[in-house]
Amino acid sequence: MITQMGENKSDRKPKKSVGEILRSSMPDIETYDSAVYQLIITKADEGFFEQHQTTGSLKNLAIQLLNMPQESSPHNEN
Amino acid sequence: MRINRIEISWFRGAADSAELDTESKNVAIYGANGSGKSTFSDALEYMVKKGKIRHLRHEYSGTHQEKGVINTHAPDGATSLINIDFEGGISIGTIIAKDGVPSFASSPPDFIEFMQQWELEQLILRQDEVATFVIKQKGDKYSALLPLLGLEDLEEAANNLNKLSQHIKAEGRLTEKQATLGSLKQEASRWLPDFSDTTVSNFLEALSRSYIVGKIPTERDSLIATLRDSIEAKLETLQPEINRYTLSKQIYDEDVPRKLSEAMKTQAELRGKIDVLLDSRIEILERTSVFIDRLARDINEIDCPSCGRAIKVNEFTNHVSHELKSLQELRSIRDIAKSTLRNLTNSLDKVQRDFKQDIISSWLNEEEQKELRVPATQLLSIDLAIWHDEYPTEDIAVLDNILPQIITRIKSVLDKAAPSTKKLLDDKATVDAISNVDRITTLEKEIKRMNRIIGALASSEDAIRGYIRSRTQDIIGNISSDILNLWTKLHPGEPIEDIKLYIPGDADKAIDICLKFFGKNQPSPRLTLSEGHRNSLGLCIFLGLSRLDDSKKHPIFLDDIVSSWDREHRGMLARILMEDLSDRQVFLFTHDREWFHELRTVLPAKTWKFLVLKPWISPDIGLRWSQSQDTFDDARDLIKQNAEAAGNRVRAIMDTQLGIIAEKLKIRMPYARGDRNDCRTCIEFLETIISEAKTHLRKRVGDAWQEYLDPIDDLNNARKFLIAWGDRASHAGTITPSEVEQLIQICEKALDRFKCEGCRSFIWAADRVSQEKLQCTCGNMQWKYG
Repeated sequence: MITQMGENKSDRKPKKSVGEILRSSMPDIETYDSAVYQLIITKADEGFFEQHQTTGSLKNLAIQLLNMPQESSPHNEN
Repeated sequence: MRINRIEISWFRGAADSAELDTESKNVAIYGANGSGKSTFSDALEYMVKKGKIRHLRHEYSGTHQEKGVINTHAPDGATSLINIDFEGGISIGTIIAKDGVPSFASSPPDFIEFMQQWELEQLILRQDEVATFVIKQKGDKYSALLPLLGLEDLEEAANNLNKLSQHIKAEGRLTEKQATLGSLKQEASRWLPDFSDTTVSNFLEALSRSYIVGKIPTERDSLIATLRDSIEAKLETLQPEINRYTLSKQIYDEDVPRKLSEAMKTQAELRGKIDVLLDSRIEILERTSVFIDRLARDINEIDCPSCGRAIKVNEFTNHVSHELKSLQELRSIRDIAKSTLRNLTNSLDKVQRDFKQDIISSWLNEEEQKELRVPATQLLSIDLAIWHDEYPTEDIAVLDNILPQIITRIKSVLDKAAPSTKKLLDDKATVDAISNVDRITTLEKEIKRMNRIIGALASSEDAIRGYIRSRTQDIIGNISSDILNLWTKLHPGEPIEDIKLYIPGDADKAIDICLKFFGKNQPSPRLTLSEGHRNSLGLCIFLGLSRLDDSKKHPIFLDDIVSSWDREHRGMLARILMEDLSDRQVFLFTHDREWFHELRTVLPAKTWKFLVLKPWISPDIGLRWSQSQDTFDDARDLIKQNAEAAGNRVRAIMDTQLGIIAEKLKIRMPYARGDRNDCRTCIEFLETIISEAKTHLRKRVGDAWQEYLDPIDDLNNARKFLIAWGDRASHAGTITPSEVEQLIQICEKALDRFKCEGCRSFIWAADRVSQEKLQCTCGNMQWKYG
């Protein structure tokens, strides 16, 4: 019986969201380009990346990212 | 956790209101393709996924999938809604606004949160997901399994991040900016050792001491402008010969031969790529026309128009993506080519203007400048106004010829100049270089920022892919034992053992299944498993996944999953439904009439409810339940449109039903030659059943058992009309609508005769094996089969 199988299955960790993964994989951007970081994380939390996106919507996001003000002071970069 | 009722209104194909009342039982729903069975799984998915349905996830469904979720013909004022009632008074509902935004509510209020934590891949298995998995190779099996593993959205995210990087690169004109920066730095490096603030300040300070009398501007731009003005003022005071030197120096410093060489090099590179690309694109277009023809014939595998390799049709998207990448690379080269050409044109324009200055033109007219005059005149005759993204090749030939002569002559003038003049001009060039430092710094920052964003997106993509891999490894390790157990149950005694999922160590984004076939290890099921076997493996994986978290015990939806299975294996599934899924509520949707009837005879009525959906007609009519359990409504719906087709449908229903009944009654059909054993008609079954019923069918009257002839009359009647009208529908096509209606009533009555008039259970409800007889639940109707 499969009811007897799969011990400790309920211990499996819940699936990470894209936002959770992204938060820990962009330390450089978080430090030096916080507005860009925030926009990417916001989009991730909205589920933007998980959905199929057209070329147009990805292009718009790219333009938006490039036009974000760079708030962190550049002297910190080195 | 059992569902008592699902109510939907103006949702997907449903119109005013469609209710599925389960009575807390498992539910098997039969419906022809498109009748709306999947609307119920869509409704559940919509609730769990907070207003999203996976198969509607595309650009045409609208921001909130409103174009796919709301019935396209919902009248003004109609409300699209879903309500699901669970046992224990728990309920959840949503109203969907016109723009597709859902409002959820539940009782108790926190139930919605609990339900939205359910993982879809453990709830609903759809036929297309099983089929997709079946046809994939190991790389693509990975993609196909992702929805079952619940990781498809992460894969989409990784792909989107990759594409976003490419857009950042293109929209930020990264390649072009890198080329411009390289050129500016090369020029400025001739005068400045580096571009640091200290170096620039030191240079400016030294130059200020030499050229500015009085107050030195503190703002850098003003200081540069003042310095430039001072140096130019000094140059203006110089003798015409020196001015001539100045202009000659300007001409020399433009370094036109180098720029010409760079432009030629990039143009040649562009030409080389375009030539190759053109040839391949033309070939692709030619092959694509063949490809489209074959696609129209619904062929799964084609030869790639680009490389000739055999590929699956849906892999074509990846090929298109690869082609796009090639074109994007080409666009980068084109940007560099444009930049270098613009650089060359600007320099030539400056040189032409210098040559046109009076001081140079009068100098050129001197007899000793004859050797320079000729090439200079040729240079001035080049019309740069027609140089845009391309240039006349004859102009390039002229430049190739005259530039060395011009540069040699100009250089000899420069070599003869006084040291003070040289210094003045070098200082002017230094000021020009300093004035470009800001632009260099800005470009460096922009490029650095773009690279940082691209790097972050790349590391995010890597992180997601790494997570998918480890999660996949984790899940498939967990479910492998369940898969093997279920497989053994579905395929007992078959020589396929040790079946399990694994991630190949030598490949990225790949999942495969290994197994033992007749005791030999096989690295892939493609080598040995049939389509039906692979489909059942898909089911085993789903059931394994649905058991990953036993604490939730939510219902399981199996949506049309057994199309490729043979009868024997479908029978095994019925066994699994009874034995292994007894603690779960199962919703089973099928368009397979035969299997549906078989399930009705196998699965206990106490725990299973059987429902039939009528064919879907239009959005305003929506989903309709059939009152008949025998699916004759399929035929009834066809009467108005096509009476002959309806008549044929009645024949087909009776073929199926009577085949199952004959098996239930343990009737031994006479041997028929060849394939005819498997294709018997309802007439053959009826004749044998009628013949045996005369001695086998009995009814209790008081304490005595009597022969029971009434049903035989009805069976005979059905036989007679099926031969007369059923055959006419099949062969002559002359049956009328009223005749079909009558035929259906006669057949329904005949089939109903296998139920007891008292307890309404089938005559095979109980099998008294020792007495070799079947009987209904109350025991008043009996079939002796011994």
